[in-house]
Amino acid sequence: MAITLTSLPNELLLHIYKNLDHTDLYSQSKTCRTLHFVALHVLFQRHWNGFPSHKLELDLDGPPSRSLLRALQSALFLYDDIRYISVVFSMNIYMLYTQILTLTALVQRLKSLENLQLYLGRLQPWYSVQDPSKNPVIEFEQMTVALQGLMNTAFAKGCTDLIVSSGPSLESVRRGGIRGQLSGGIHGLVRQLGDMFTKTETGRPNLIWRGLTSIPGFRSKGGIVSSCRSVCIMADLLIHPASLDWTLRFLNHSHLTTLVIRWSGFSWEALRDILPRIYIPRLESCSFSGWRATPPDLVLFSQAHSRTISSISISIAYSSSDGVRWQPGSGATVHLDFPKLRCIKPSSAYLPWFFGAAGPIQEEPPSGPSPISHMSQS
Amino acid sequence: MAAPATQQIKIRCNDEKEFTVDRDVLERSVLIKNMLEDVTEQQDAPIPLPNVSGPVMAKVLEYCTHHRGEPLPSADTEQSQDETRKRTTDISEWDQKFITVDQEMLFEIILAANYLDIKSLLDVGCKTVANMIKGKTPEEIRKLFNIVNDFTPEEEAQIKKENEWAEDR
Repeated sequence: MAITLTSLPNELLLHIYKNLDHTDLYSQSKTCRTLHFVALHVLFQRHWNGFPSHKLELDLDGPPSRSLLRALQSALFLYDDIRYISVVFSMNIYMLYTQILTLTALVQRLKSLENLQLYLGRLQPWYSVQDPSKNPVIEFEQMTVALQGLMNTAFAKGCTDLIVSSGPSLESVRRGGIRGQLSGGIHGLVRQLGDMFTKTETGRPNLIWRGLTSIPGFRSKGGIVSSCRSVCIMADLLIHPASLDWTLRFLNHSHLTTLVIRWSGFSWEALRDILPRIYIPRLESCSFSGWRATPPDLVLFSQAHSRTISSISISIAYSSSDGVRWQPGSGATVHLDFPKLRCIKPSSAYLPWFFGAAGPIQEEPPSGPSPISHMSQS
Repeated sequence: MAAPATQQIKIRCNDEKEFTVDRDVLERSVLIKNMLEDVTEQQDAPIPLPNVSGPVMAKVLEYCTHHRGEPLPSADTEQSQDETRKRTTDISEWDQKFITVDQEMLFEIILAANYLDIKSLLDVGCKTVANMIKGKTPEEIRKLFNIVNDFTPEEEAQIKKENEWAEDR
């Protein structure tokens, strides 16, 4: 009975692999099945902070991120009692796609899941990083479907808190990895939104509000959004119109009481088409913030819900990408009657659109092009 | 050292081969050290070591004899894993010569070191294997260690694809 590398007990393989760097571990993982799993397990553990607990925190951003989620998947037969997952994804679009698919498979293996946080933090608009000659083209739709699959799987496992974020993760902020284009606008806005939302939803202290689409209170049955009470949609760079449409479709006639939407200049077009088609019978609180919108679009929506809304918050940044700045006072002023309204937090320029008060106050636009608009143009 | 240090201990391997060794040499093995501490009265019966064969034990004893008297590494020196990873090649000259054996013996030594709980020897063995692996392609590794590629063609394609994607980082 000759002893070979593959017949060594796993603990010894782990001991050997401790001495190897990533490149060599990847080579190992490609030799055969046994070594594949063990090598990936080592790779994965190096990126896994927070074990042992029911919480899994992975940072898959930055090199070497390849195969790590595969590693996770391979290793997870050991740790199927994880209930919280937080992942910072790669900013490489191809990696991201694979990672999402793998994470889905992983979640499928879990006994149950309570909390899923996905940070698509440093993602660039992917059409600009795509190189079709070298990589398969991943369409928005594909990515959307992948993300949907992941979410559905999470819900099926009983996930009640889902946080998808395209803003920078705290960690990447700390690392200083998001200088420039993403730091200012989005982040401030997101934080502002988060604050507002936390205030209106005092009963939910542990939610993290950041980024793209934060949908707490999901239930496994009865559709995606239809059974939750509050939804926060962050429709910035990542959102494709199809995906927005998908999300918002579920909002129509749902039991929502709180709706938060923020958008970029990029996604506003889609949002503008969808919003008027939505009616949420019990909506009590809503908040809007983003770029490029003009008040009448929002007013229509608000008007439709004027009977139930008790809190409204609006904050619109100026659009500088198309050289057209919204002129307060142009267009029709709508007078709204909100019988239950107790709290309102619009930016000053918006007040008259809702209440027909005296002329709007001019606000200084942010210096330089707004980060979002700038990026969506490239 | 005082007289008790030269106490002679008998061990018996799984192939009935017996060794009589100085106690301080054997105590390089945490397993045997613990055994000896548990047994207070003098025993003449050899300690059975069913997981180690004679030739391997001879090698292990050679190592232990060379390193006798050195302080045992403490159990919790694990935390600086990053460092261990970086200085893989720092196997001392004597150890390097010692560990220059055929592959099967190398693995046997690793297994024995693991069983006997001799951390420094285990490290030397594992580092040696790691050094053999370093910088080699999967194909070369398969050849070197006689590994059968048991991936299905689909899996192979999948792995390959992933790699292509990963090129562009």
